[in-house]
Amino acid sequence: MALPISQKKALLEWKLYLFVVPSVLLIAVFAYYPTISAIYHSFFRWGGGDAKEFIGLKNFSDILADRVFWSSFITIGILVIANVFKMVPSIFLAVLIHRLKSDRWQYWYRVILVLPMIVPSLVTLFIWKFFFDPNLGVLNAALDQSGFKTLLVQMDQVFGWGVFFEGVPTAWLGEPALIIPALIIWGFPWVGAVGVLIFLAGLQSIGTEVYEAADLDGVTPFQKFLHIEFPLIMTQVRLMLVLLIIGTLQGYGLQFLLLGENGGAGGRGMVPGLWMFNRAFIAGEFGYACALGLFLFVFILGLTWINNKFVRVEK
Amino acid sequence: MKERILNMIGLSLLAICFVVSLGRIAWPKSQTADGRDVETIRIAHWQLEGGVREALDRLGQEYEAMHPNVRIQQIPIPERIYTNWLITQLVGGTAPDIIQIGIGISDERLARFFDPITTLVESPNPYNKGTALEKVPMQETFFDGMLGGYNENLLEYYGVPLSGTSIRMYYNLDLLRKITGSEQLPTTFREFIALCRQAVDFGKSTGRALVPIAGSRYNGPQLMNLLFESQTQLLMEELSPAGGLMRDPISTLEWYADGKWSPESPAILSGMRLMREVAQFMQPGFMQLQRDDATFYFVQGRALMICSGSWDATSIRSQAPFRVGVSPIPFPTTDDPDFGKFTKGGVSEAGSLAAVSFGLTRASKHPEIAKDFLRFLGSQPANKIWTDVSRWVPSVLGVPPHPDAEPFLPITKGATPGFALATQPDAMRVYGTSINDLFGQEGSPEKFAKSLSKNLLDAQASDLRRSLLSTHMNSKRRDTVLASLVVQRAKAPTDFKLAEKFDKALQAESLAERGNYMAEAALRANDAAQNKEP
Amino acid sequence: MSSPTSMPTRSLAPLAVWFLVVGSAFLDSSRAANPVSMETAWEQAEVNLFNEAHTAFKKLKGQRGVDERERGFGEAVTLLNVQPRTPGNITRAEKMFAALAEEDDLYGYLASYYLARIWEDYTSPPQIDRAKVAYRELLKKNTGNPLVEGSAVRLALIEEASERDPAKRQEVLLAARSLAENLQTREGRRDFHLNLGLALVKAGDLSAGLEELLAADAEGITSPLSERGAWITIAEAARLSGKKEIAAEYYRKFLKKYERDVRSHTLAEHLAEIEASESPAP
Repeated sequence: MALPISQKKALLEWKLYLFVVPSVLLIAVFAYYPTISAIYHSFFRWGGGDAKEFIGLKNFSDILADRVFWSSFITIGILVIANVFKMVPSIFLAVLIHRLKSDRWQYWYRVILVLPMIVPSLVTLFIWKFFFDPNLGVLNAALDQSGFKTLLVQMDQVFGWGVFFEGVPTAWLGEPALIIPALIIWGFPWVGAVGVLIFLAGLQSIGTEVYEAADLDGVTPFQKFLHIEFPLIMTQVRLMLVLLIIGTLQGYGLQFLLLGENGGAGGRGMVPGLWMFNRAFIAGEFGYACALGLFLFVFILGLTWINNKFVRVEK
Repeated sequence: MKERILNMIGLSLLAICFVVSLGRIAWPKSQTADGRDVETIRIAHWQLEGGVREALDRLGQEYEAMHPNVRIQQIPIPERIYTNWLITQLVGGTAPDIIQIGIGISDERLARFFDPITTLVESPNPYNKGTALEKVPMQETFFDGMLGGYNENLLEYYGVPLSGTSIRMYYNLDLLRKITGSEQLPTTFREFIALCRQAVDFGKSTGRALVPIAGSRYNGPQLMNLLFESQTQLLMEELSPAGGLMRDPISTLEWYADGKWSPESPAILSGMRLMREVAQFMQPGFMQLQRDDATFYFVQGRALMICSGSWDATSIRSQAPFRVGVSPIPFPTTDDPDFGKFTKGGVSEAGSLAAVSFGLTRASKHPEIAKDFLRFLGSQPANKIWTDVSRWVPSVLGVPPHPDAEPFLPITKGATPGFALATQPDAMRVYGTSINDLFGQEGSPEKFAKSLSKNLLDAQASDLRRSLLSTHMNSKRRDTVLASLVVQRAKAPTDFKLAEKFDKALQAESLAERGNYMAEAALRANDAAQNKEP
Repeated sequence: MSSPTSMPTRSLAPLAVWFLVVGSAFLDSSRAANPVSMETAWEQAEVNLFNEAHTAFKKLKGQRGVDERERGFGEAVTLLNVQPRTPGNITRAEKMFAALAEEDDLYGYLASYYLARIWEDYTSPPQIDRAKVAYRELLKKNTGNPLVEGSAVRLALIEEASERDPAKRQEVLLAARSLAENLQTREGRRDFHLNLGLALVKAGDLSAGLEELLAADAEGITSPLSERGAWITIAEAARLSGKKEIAAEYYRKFLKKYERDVRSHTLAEHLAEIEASESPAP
């Protein structure tokens, strides 16, 4: 930690602080100013241009009566829970790579993992959109070829889902009941390079003596994971959890690209971020969208506080 | 000491570079390859369809040939991000000189960021010299009286429209010949349905993956909304006896609230049945597909036909490896056994306005040159170049359309279209998210009508409320404009043009206020009707 | 060794030069003072540049040769649309109009009109009763100003909206016809007859509505969009109330002038029906 310097010395070296000015200015202009502007405009009826009318707290009271906004939290809640479970493959792969005896193989697996990051995420999204195409998509073709489609049709007849029919291509993004499953399936096998690398970094900080002691005690591989590895990477898990929750709650790019601005069939894919976009750019209610954004910000802040308070890491 | 001098030199160099780059941004100056100084006029649009960029390039070259000190720079922006890009440019003060008016341009943005060109268009166009339109005021040289460039809320002309548009069915003629043995396009609804069935049978018998109509979230509704509106023609006339025979959101909501129609009305159900009848010939799940997916289907020969606008004609023709035929939408006739009861037959396109309208931004650094270029664009010779290169329908009177554009000339014979169920954002959202109840495997018109009944009225009311806020804002804006006009008129009582403008503004304002009161009444009626429900 | 206080001062010089140079680059030459006049201020207001117009009117305060009442009216009327629109701005405009309205001249009448407008549309909640009284008072003054005579239209609209019972609305509208007595200008009469006519037709009184619309047409409807709507309503109302001659006349007028209209086909059909019913049997 840096030693404190006296105020006099700090004033003497004032020119050095000028080096911080550009960064501060950039953050102020591109991060703080938009936020302050959004807070300001949330108290106005604003169409995005110059004309605005002060309406006080009306936008916020409208939020309370906004059924679409509140029901979007159900969708996002399901996606957050699904995304938490989708962390498991990344942890699993990180453990597998970590346990490889050969450093060389560890290196190559890391390279293989990182290479797809070159592809912009937008491209991946469009590829997945193509996967979901009812007539030309890979998903339906795979289900047909594997015979899994027949099983799904039979299950549909038992459970009465009304989405899988023999000889009829499944509209994964066109059936209300399939929207959320499609959003969950997206990204299969759910191995995120960033997540794996973060967990791997955590695992690699575990000393070999711990493993040696565990081997001596006859601990099974699964027990090693449960009692050694997982507890010792809780810091990384907590970090990923926070990033995941914030990212999922704020995010709407996936839903917008796959389903459109109305959240797809039945509006099932509508999430809070997409509703904010919809109100701003489709309905032209920018002031209301700012209020929605502010509300979302407070909500995420609250969740982050809860996460920090209750997801503790034993040091 | 030496260090201090070096620091000062460094800082000064930095400062000079910074100032120079600021100057380059603030005061850009273009130069041609031979070193001449030119003024650059930038023109932005979202029409990335085939033919438009080439036509604008050619028009730019023609203009530059006449004005060597001017360079025309085209800025095409994808439609999807056009609004975001536009807002950023307008608010940031870096907007191009000329911008296509339409997507993302509300009345408020138009009033704030665009210069009206009313004075320009009230005089004859100098670029029409030597033609029959030489002495005709520019606004009267367009097939729609230049209403496509007129804003009735702001009472000004803002744009010069270049093209007429229409919606048509495109056919794969080579495939049509294989299926039917001829290239005769269907002219009636029954022929159209029969052809769709033939295409299905052809696909089955040859084992070819073929759908009769390529559909998508974009193309499907274009066809089906038009067909639906043919089923509400008589209903609309019944609902508005002695009315203006025009559909409007205020009346639609009022009639809905009064129980005069609902999604379960016979005419509406008939419209939905018609939509479902046609939708069965599109690929399953078409509502999740994008416009490009449907075009892809068609040009790859997986679909016999596709419905789209005249704006896609050049793109489709250039991408398709086969010959493309075009025909109007085949509406059911009055003697159709299933759909004749509620229709008056074909729908007139006489009300279609000229589109692809370009307006002048206030941020333009060369407004006089930009205005002159707009005059040029709206002239008969330029419009001839436009239709010849883009193969789009021309907008100026007396310009013969390119042969490829002829099938897209508006059909002025036909009855008034009926009303649609959803034309505004919230109603369209409810409509779009429920449409699966109509097109899904287990869908039906009754199921669709039932799910619309739950939320459509609220959505229409919400849209009308939002629209009312906007029209109130326009009225308030007009208050100040009218004040300005009445004072100026009092000081210049012989200024005929001012008097005319004031007169029109007064008329428009009184009718607009009437519209506001009617909208409020419709919303009250809706609220009252909602409260009456158990 | 130089003192701590002298070092920063000396090294400030190049920095100061630097900021001056940079700062001067931001000087916008267009911000050089443009001469402001009442004409430019009104022209700015006319093309929706309200903030600019308002600033111009404020700058003109106290200047020689400026009509202070005109300037004050301009400042107040642009304040209605200065962005952002706030209740405070509207209240200030209200006070300015109230002061102007004390005199009976053009600006006094206009100020009274805009006071009523503020009560009708700008306050939340609207003060409709107050606006009604103000409009009635204005009409009695026989100002001979078309904008001010628009008070008659507003009164009729308010009366129509106030009557929630559709059955009684006709009576209310018929009673409102008397407001036309105060109208001296062609524009005032035209707009009043047009609005009342449309309202009466909508309320179901085709005869009275037709009378009003014909009166509006006689005054001259200059806007093509308004004219189309009016002629169609006249023709249809006449047809449905059995006045076939008037109906046929207006169908023909419309089809001749507005051949290219999406309603032409339907109107031609109705004209053909009338002509068929009037032609003698073979």
